[in-house]
Amino acid sequence: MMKKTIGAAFPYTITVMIGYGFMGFAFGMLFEKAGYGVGYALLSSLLIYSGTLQFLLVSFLSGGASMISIVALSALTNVRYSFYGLSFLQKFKGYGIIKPYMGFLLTDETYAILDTVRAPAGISEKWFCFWIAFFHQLYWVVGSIIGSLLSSAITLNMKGIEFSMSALFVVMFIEQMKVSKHPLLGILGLVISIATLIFAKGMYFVSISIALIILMLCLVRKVGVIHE
Amino acid sequence: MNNHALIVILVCSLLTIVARLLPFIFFPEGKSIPGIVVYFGEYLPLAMIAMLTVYCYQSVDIHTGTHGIPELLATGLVIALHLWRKNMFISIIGGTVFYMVLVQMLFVA
Repeated sequence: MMKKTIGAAFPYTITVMIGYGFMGFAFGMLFEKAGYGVGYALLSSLLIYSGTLQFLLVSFLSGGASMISIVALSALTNVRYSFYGLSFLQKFKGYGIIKPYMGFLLTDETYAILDTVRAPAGISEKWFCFWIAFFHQLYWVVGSIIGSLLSSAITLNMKGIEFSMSALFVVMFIEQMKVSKHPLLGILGLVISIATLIFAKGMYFVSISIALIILMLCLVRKVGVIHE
Repeated sequence: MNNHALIVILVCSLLTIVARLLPFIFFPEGKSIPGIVVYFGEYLPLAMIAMLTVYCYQSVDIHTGTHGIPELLATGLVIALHLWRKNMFISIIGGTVFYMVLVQMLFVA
């Protein structure tokens, strides 16, 4: 039964295998180049397991960021995870002992994939989702280990590989726009953030943008444009 | 091991675990979820991803250096690839490789 579930889940993880393999690799390599070897990469990918935060982590450590700004920026970039969990409260109902673990595995991509795939007939939805989420982290961990280990062996010029993060977010934005009932909110989010970027950077940018976005959503709700 | 790096990794880990598990702690099974929370759960993620997307580009300076042209071109390719092939990793890898070629060969600052 378990074998059958794994067999059903695996094909749905192939795109993420390539993507996480590639981005994990990029992370491992950047981290190694910043002076933090395979042990650090492994620990980060196991315990943090967030592409966004781990790329930020590289800049925290190489830029000598203060603990206050690390905590503030991490907490703010992580806010969206709470909302992923919120929208999966129903889905994870009855998941029992694996629920906290499943909650922890909710990265942007895993959230997006679990939100769209359905288990084939005769396969337990719970274990189907579990194996997809589990494989995703496995790819991420393995990718970052390989990236870290091969970092010094690779003589290729990797300048520009950091663009993979921008590309990832652009793609996720398009995906979310496609499934959203109100894509206009995405455009509003873009406009607000671009406007904020003109006068604020770094941590200030993130916090001011989030505040303005929450304000915008409250206004939209008040005006009654969106009916729940 | 470098203690400072270790502490920073553990702090980031803890903050991530808390963020991801908070909803499940606050709303155990059987507890009803307030309308405003449902509303934000539904509509905040899109605006948030929009913000994080813009955040990725914060170091781009349109006034100096390459004026953000490689970023603009590569982003255009990511969008085009994604609308055409509808495969997120073709878009990401294609866009990144193209960007690397641009900054290494054409826009050498």
